[in-house]
Amino acid sequence: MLEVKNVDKYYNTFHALKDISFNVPKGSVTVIIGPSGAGKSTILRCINRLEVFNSGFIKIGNKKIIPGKMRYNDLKEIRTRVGYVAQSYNLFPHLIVIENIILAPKLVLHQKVKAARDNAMQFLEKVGLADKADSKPENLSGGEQQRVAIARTLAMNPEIVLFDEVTSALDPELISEVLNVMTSLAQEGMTMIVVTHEMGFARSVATDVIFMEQGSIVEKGSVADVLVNPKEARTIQFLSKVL
Amino acid sequence: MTYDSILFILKAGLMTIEVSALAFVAGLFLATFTAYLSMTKIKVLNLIAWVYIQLMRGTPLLMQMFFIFFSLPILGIRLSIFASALVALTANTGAFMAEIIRASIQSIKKGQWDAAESLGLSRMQIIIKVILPQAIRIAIPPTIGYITSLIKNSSVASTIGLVEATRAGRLAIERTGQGLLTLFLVGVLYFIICFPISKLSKSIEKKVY
Repeated sequence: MLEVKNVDKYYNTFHALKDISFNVPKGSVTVIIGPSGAGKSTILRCINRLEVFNSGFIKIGNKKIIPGKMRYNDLKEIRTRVGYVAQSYNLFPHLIVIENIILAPKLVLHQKVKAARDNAMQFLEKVGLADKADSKPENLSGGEQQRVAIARTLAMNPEIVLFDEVTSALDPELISEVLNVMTSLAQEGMTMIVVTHEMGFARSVATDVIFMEQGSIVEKGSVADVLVNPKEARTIQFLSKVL
Repeated sequence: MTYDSILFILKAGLMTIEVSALAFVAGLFLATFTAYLSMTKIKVLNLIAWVYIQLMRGTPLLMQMFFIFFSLPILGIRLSIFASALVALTANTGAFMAEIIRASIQSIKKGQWDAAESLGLSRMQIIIKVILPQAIRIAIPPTIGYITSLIKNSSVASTIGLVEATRAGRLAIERTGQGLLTLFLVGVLYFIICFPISKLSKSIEKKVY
């Protein structure tokens, strides 16, 4: 469903991603772990082309992301298929919750307002915030804002959703409400790539794990391979610190 | 102080409002264009915008008005008193408002662009639906501030002979000899024009979103 092949990325002279390759099968949950600066967020941002990479390619179904300039119509198609949820939620502060969710379905998918609203309410219900539809983002807690951001992404009916450290900015007691939403999404068969430091989530929900460091993939495999029986010394060292 | 003099000053107050309002509207178009130039990825256009803004901000309005009214005719460009004042104030507004527009847009966090982009919105849609509504709210207080100083700065046009509030005051003093009272009246007139505009700021901010 998703193929990342030999992706390299430079920030000027800094080699941020080194020959990254991996596959994400449909319905799988791939968790990417690693120390900060490993390139975890960068690879996610390349997958919906918020960042441009220098060589290699990324394939989503039959659509290909390549280095350099791309046409907006191709980008639109890719971004419609690939949802992205960021650490800082980034709700639009001038719009109420329901408007946040229906903005892109209206503008990009050309849904009618009524249909978009009905659809949005379903997703709000799914993340447990149907009663907040008319609230301003500023009046919601961090956990609630993040759940709205997830609903906003889901309203585009993506085939795959990228989660970029979505709980890192949250108070400890708010983390679980967001993780619960993600867990139930995974159980419904949504294909997901999750960058996280939540090892409990990785163990219970992930199907595949990738350990990255300094722009490279050090080790990848099933949860049992990487989290339970890691082979690389660096992976063992990292896991001993975070577990 | 005769009734005639008071009426004369009040009428000139309308000229102050007229020249300021026209300069603001025309200047806003110029400013939007300049702000666009200063934010494109094309370096030459950035430079053109930068030079224009620095020239306007780094030289006195009085000099700019003198240049347009007294020096341009030497180059064969002859503008009326009103046109000279309007051009100088418009050029000033273009530069100052361009900086307000640019700063307001650039103060919107990058995450807003990321979120909108990752939802598939086009650049135009992002600017119109996501960035501008937020930027306009941020731009309101400095814009209101700029409008009030524009109104007061239009008094510089009295030096090239435009009969606006300040010049009318001076003419009235020459006629009546009542300096203190006349200047007080002119001051009050400026205040009456500017104060409601300052007061507007808060209520517009609330209305924007």
